[in-house]
This record gives sequence, C-alpha cells and structure tokens, in this order.
Amino acid sequence: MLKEKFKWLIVGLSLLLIITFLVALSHGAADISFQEVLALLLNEYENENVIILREMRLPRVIASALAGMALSVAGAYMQGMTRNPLASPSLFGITAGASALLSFTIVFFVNMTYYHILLVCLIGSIGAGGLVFAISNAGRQSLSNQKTVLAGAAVSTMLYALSDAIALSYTTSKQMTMWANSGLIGVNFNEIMIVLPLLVVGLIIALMYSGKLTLISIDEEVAISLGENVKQLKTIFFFLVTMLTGAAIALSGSIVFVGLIVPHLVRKLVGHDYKLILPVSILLGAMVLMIMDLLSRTINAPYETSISAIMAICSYPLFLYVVKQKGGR
Amino acid sequence: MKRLLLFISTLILLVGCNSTNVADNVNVVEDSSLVENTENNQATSDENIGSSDEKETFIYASEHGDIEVPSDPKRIVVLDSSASGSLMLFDGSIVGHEAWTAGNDLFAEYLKDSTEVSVDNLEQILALNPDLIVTSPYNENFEELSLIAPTVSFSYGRLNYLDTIIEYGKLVNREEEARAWVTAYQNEAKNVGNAIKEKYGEQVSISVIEAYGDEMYLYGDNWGRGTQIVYQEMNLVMTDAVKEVALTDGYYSISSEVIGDYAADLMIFAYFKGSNMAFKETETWKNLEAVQNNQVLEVPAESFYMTGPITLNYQLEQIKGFFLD
Amino acid sequence: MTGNKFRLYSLILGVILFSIVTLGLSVGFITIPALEVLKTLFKMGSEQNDFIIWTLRMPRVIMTLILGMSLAVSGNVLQTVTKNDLADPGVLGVNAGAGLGVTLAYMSMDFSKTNIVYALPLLGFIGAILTFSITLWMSKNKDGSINVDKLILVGIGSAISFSGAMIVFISSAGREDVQFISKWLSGNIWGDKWPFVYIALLLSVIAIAIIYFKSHVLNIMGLDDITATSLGVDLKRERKLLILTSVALSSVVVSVAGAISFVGLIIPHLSKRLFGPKHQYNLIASMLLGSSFLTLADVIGRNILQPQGLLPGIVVSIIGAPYFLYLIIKKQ
Repeated sequence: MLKEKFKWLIVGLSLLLIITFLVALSHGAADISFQEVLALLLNEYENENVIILREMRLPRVIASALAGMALSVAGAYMQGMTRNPLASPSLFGITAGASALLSFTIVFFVNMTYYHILLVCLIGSIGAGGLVFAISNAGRQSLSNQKTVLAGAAVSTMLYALSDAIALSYTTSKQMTMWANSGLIGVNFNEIMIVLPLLVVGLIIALMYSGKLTLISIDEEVAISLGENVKQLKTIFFFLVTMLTGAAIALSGSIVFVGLIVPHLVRKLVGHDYKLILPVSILLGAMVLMIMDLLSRTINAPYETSISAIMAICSYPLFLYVVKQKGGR
Repeated sequence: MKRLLLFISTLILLVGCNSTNVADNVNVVEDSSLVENTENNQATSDENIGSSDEKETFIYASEHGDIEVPSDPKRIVVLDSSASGSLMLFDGSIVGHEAWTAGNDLFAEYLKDSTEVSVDNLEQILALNPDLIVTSPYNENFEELSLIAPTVSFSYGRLNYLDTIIEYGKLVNREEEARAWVTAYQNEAKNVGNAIKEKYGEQVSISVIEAYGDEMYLYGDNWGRGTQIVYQEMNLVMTDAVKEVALTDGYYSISSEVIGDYAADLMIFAYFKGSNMAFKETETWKNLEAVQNNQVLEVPAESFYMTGPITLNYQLEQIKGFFLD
Repeated sequence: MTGNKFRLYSLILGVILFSIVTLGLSVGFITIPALEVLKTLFKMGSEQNDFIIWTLRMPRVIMTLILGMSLAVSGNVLQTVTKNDLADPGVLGVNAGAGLGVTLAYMSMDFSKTNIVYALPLLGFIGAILTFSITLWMSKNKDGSINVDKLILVGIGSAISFSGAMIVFISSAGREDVQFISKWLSGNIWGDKWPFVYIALLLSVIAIAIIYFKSHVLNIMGLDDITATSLGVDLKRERKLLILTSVALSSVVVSVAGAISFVGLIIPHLSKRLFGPKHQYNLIASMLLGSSFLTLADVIGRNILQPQGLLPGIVVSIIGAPYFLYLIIKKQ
C-alpha cells in the first residue's frame, strides 16, 4: 500500500475511533446527553450524570478499547508467526485456557486482588499457549490448522471441566466463577491501571518488531539467511502473544474471534506488511470491541449480555467467510 | 486389549469400593426398619416406599389435588427454600434441606439434625425416609418424589405472602399457630412503621436494592428483602421511579449507572456473597442523600431475601434496629 | 481380524458392558448388592429396591447406554466418510446445532410434558442438519471433495458461536428454561426418564440399523474414490446418506439426552485399533465400547462426589482430553 494512502487510512480510522468512542460513551443504561459527555471530556462541569460517566462508563469503554487492541495485535502476531491466516488466541484455546485457570484458582483463593487475577490470567495464557503449540509442533504436520485448533479445543475443554469439577467439590457455586470471569462489567480505573503498563509495553514491543514479523511471515528460511535469529524472535513473539492475551482477559474476560477477524479485515485493507497491519489493527480492534461492549450493554437493557456471546454471533458470518477463503493446509 | 481390560477393571473396582464408604456416612434410618415398613405397607397408600407404619393422616388440598399427608410429620424434606422458614417454625422436624436453605444462617439451629441434600439426588432423599416432601412446582422429578413420600408444592405468588405462610401451617397441621404468628407480626410491623413515620415524616420513602454477582436488582413490594414489610405492612412510600419499573415483574434489573434514579430517603441494600461492590467506591453512590445520612441498611442477602416467618422476623428486627436507633 | 477373534472380543466387551451396567444399577447413594440387583431385575426384590432400580436408575443407565452407543457410531461413520480420524459430532458442530435448535424450540414454545418428547428430537435434528449443511458447504473444495481442515475449523467455530448464542438466550430466558439450557451446555445427561428413553431407543436403533446395513459401503469408502466407484458404489449418494444418518443419529439422541464431547472421537479410534478396519466388526465394537465408556463415566461421576455428583460430561472430558491430545501428537 502506498505511503500516501496509508497516511489517509490512519487519519480516517483515528477519526472513526474517536467517533466510536463518543458514541459508546453516550449510550447505556443511564440516559446521558451528549453535552454531558463533552462536559466530562472537556472537564467543564460536574453533575450526577457526568459522575456516572466518569466512574462507570468511561473506564468500561476504555477497557473495552484496550482489550480490543491487545487481542487484535495478539491475533495478528499469531497469524504472522504461524503463517496461518486462521491463527488466533481464541481458536487456539489460549483465551479459554486463561479464563478456565482463573475459574480454577478463584475456588481456592476467593479474595484475590486484581494483581493476582492478572497474574493468573498470564500464567493461564502461557500455559495453554505453550501446551497447544507444543502439541501441534510435535509430529509431522507441524502447526497445521487441524492439530492446533483441535488441541486448543481439547485443552480448553479439559481445563473448563477441571474447574467445574473443583468448583462443584468445593461447593463454590458456578455463579462465583462466572462472576470472576465477567470482566468488563464493573471494571474501574484501578483495574485498568494495573493492566495498562503491561499492555502499553506489549503494544510498543509489538510495533517495534513488526518488521521482523513481516520477514518471518513470508518465509523463515529467508529470514534466517538475512541473519535473523528466528528461534529467539519466535520465543519473544510467543511471550508477546500470551502477555497481551492474558492482560486482555484479565480486563475483559474471555472474548472469542477478535484476534481472528480484525487482522483479517486489516489485511484486506493494507496488504501483508505487518508494519502497516499492526497500527491499523490497533485502531480497528479498539473500535470493534467498543461497539461490541456497547451492544452488550444495550441489546437487552437493563440486563447485561455476555460480550463474548455477542462477538461470537456477530462474527460468525465473517468467520465462515474467512474460512472459505483461507482455510486449510 | 489387555491394557484396556485392566484399565476398565481398575475403574470398576475403584468405583465399587468408593461408594460403599459413602453410603455409610449417610444419616439413614436403619435398614431393617425400611424392610419392615415396606413389607407391612399399612394405612397410608401403598405407593409410599418410605412411609412409616401406622401414622395418622389427613387430607390436604394441595395444588395437585387432594393428597394424604401425615398429621404430625416427623421427617420433612424441604426442597423449596420458600417453604423452609414456615416448616421450621411451625413443625421443626426437618431431616433434609437444599442448598439455598442451607445458606440462610438464621436456620442454623433448626437444621442441626438435618442433612443437606441435592435436589436431584432422589436416592439420597429416599435414604432419609421422609414422611413429607415439599418442593417447587418446577421440579422435574415431582412424580418420582411422590412415590417416595406425599409431595406437595406451592407456586410462588399464587397466594399473598401471609396466606402462603398460613397454608404451610395448614400443611403441617398447625394452622392455629400460623395465624397467631401472622397477627403478632402484623401488629409489630405496624408499630414499627408508625415509629418510623414519626421519626422521618409521614411521606418518608424507601427503596430496596440488591447486588447479586455483577448484577443489581431493584425490588417492588412483594419480593422479599423486606419489601413486604416496608411497603405492605408499614405503608412507607415507594418513589415514582421505582413504581414505574418494579411493580410489573416484581423486580427489575438495573445497571449500577442508574442507582441514583432509584434512591430514596431510606434504603435497604442487600448483597449476596462475592458480589461486585465496586460501585460503593463511586461518588455517585457516596453522594446519595441516604448514604450521606447513614440511612442505608446493609445486610447480607442470603438471610434477607426469603419470605418465611423466621426471615420476616429477622427483617423486621433489622429494620427496627437500624432505622429506629 | 478373524471371525472367531471377533466373536471372542465381542463377548468380552459384552461381559464388560454387562458388569458396568450392573455396577451402575447397584452403586449409588444407597448401594444395592449385585445379588439383590439381579433379584430386582426379575421383579423379585424388595419394593424399595424395585423403586430405586426401576424408577430411578434404570432409565438413566439405559439412556446413557443409548447416548454412548449413538455418539460412538456416529463418530465412527463421520471419521470413515471424511477420512479423518479427528471428526466427531461435537467437533463438527453437530451437537452445537442440535443444542441451538433445542434451545430455540424450548424457549419459543410452551410444551406440555408429553409433546416435548417428540418435539425435541425433531428440532434438534433440524438444527443439527442446518448447521452441518453450512459446515459441509463451507468445506467443499473446488473439485467437490471435502477439505477436512476447513470442516474442523468451521465445526469448532460453529460450536463456539452457537454456545455463545445459547448463552445470549439464557440471559433473556425464564428461570425454568435457564436450568434446562445450562444443564444441557454443561454436559449433563438430561432426559433420564422413561418417555425419553423410549424415543431415543427407537430412533437410535433405526439409525444404527441403517448404518450397519451399509457396512460394506463404509469399508469401501476407506479406499480412494476411483477404486470405490469402480466397485459399483455411488459415492456421492452413499456419502450423503451416511452423513445424514449419522448426523440424525447423534442429533436426536443429543437433543433428549444432552451433548457430550469426545466420546464420538475416541471410541471409534479404539474400535478400529482393536477390531480392525472392517465396519461389520468395528461398528459393533463402537457400540459396545461407547455405551460402556459413557455409562462408566456416568457411574464414576455420580458416585465420586456425593451428593451432587460430577457431571458425566466433565468426567469424560477429564479422561478423554489427555488421551485425545495424545492422539493428536501421534497422528500420522
């Protein structure tokens, strides 16, 4: 894609992002006017509604944007790394792994601080990711779609089953574990602050390595012959992916398909250079998740509908399309 | 093939050994008496496997038609938590109860000799040898339960809450006591209500909110948590905002964003264990008049949401204690 | 595998099945010694035991047998037809489709107890067929052959999406419906009452009979297409028929009983390893092993954790997933 075109794309998307942000802020259970939204952002005045915005809606919208960014970038990296357009944290069982481990741990440590929750999500991501990658690397058809997706499904089913079993035997109701996993509902700035450093570092590193990612995504052999330490890079990428996924889940709970759909859409726009794909993924990912969160708040008001469920339903047609185009190996 | 056989045989053995141990720990009536009873098969209908012999019975008009129940039930299994309070207070001989009932600390004394059962585990219920079972009308095992012991259900809301309590009293043959309790309770509630109005004004308003996990609920005038007491017995004012949404379904799910809309002069806030209380840190909450005047009664919901006599007494006590100190 | 070996092995499996069934009938909250169980089976036992075994345990044990058997046979056929070892009704989204169909039905209509027995399998089947058609359509290569990778991807993706959809419906459903749906989603065996057992038995027996009747066709499908066609088999038609029947088999049973994954995946594998590639043999093995395995899992689940029990789906996952992962590594 031409540099000129790219610049305009970025500008256009950034504008869209801001608009989405404003729309997401202005809609919800409480009836808050647009002026009040502006009042909050421009720090003009404070009334009841503005306080509601500031304390409840703003953190939530921001959190959804951050989660969207993280998951999209993680997905993009996975797709580049494995040279497989269908790689994504959810399809490969990483998101399920992290959230199942969280359910698992909550039974034993009912009063975890948010730092603990974040840690558990990270461990879960790394564990599940490692297991799935190891399994699909073993044997001959290395990292084939089939094996990885099935391994992901198996690992996540098993972890969920274990956490169910433990929850039942310790008479912690399923409710408790569901609450731990609800993520975006009731998120506040404290939680965001705890996760933010990790996310920012992750995103920056992701952007920095985008060039290397492009090399690897084309052909590992070429990369090696160009002097790159591919093994080291892949390890860094692995931790990057699991870090971003873990952080996203700690914030928003398990959300499926984001890491699959967004990079794919982005590739349609900008081509295969990850230096371009990543920034656009960040913008688009944030937008998509803010919209999904908006839907989960408003679709069945006043009830909250699970954002992952909404995402799963909305992205199903797109998912089918992506598979039809690119599936199989 | 051999490995498979070995594996399966090991599993079978494990299961076989494990379960015999468990059965021993059960609060079961002696095996011999069970055999005796089933062979004797006397007065009561021969469908009741667990029935004891020679019991006096009477006909009770239940939701499902007339049914023969013991005149002095000694082994009640209660699978519907809305019946627990009444049954405990008026009869007291509970031998089996389910999880929600177990969660209400007020019942601890009454449940000393009772076993917590799983509603779906019919064998466990059978092992308790009940002579009366009370369950929810939605229980899909209703027919099977009826084969174990006379089984009765009460659809929530069919009668008003006080008549329901009296019905439970009728079921265990203690109608007099039930009616006496209702009269005493209504008097006390009226008195406390008048005292509250004296202290806070005739038109003082109150709203009842609950935190359940990540959700928040707002209640109307007939859904436990003290609502019957404050709205029906004491006639305290319900704000228009609450009236608009909570009266149709009896309750209304709200987002923490709109708590402010449903605040009132006095508030009752019930919370279930493990619920998300993040909103209490917000200015929105702290700026509420009731919060600032310390007029929010905060109670654990497990002991506050039911509408049986024991819980109602407790609700009344708490309301009196908090708002009239 | 020779005929004699087959008969011997089948006998052994049959005995195992019988002992597991006896175990299932005898073990429980109140353990009834095996001798008593046999007496009660001939209606010569005490009234209490009669109640426990005939009213409480028997329907569940039989339903579990039927479910295990059907999932295993369905998986066996799907694996043969798609020529892929990792196909199974759960993975291919069939169960998810049935679940969605059942959920929608349950929520939009108000059934009297008797109607439900007929409506559920029908709607489950419709849901499953629709889903599977989409899945199949998505995985067709340009030359018409099935791209198995895509098949699995779409299957798992559909399973994820549909359970998401079911969750959305849960949040707007009434209390009774929620119970049913969450029981269904979590791998519980739901329809353990006699009316459901009868209908599941009827439908599954018909489907399995059809499939078994086509054993020789299944044997041929293992060969490449040209050889198969030259042997006189109308591949396209047979494939369609077999797939349809196996989807029907798993979806109708799953709609009245509940969805359990992994059974249809692992059991056919074991069957083929033990009994060889002849479907006349390994289908029988699948039936015996499938029913034994699931029943055993259910017995373990019910008794390992008193009083509420561990759901059979959970037990199967805990046992099945590691084995499945091992299979993936070993594959090819």
